[in-house]
Amino acid sequence: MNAYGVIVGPGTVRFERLLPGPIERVWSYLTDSEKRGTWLAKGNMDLRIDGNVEFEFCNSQLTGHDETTPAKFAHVDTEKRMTGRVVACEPPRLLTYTWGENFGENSEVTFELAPRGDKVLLTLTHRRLGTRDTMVMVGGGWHTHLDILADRLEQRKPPAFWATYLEREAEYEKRVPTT
Amino acid sequence: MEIFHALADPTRRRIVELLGRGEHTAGAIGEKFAVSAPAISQHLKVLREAQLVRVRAQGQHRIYSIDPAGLAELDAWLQRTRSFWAKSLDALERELAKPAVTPKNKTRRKR
Repeated sequence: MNAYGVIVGPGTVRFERLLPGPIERVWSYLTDSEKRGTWLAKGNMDLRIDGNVEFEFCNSQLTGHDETTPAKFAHVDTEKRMTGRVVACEPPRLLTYTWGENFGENSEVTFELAPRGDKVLLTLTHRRLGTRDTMVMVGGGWHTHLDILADRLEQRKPPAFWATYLEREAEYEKRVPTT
Repeated sequence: MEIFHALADPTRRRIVELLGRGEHTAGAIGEKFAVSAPAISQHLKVLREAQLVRVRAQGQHRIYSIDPAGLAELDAWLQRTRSFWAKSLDALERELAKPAVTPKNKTRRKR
């Protein structure tokens, strides 16, 4: 399985990760605020269609390394909050929500979970990404966050977020085609 | 077209997507949404009128499912629109393939 996100359509990037099961445990890491806070961001999620989704990003503290946020992303320290809305929810297999509504964005993230023996295949698809720059950032971001999710589920200690992110971002800079 | 008005609302699109994954009773649709029951009823009415969803009674329950009539109408619209553009682009291609006309041979039209 390729750890790198693949562009599967206009403004659409898809990632796959094979994670330890059972599927309900992986589902809880997507939906439970505390558990989600160990790899992505804490925040309430009303798991009904059109229900509110809230994220509070603290990437500098995410992995327990107490990093300094890179200057380019300094704004995320003051604008931690992000909101979205549930588009589809079929526990424990399908979760879709809009991403960054409070920033006027119109993109949409879908998580699909499928049992594979004692493992679970997670497929993440982020659609309607506006620009190439967004694709590069989102590519590096999800790649880093999903690797931390895998580390948490495997009970491994994840590497520092920002240091890893910057490496990934450079890789997506090479991979995302300039149109 | 009524169908596009019906689909212009995000909640209504989500109802159609939900029913695309399987039929649901009115109650089950209501439980899945963070929207009031009367609002859902109103959305279902609009979707029914646009022939995007259909309903049948089973005992006490009203069961909603996708109405193929509306989807067929959407399909037909897409096909018409696509074929219009395909024809226009073919015509443009033929036009561009013609030998260039020098400006002095052209009669200028008076305004």
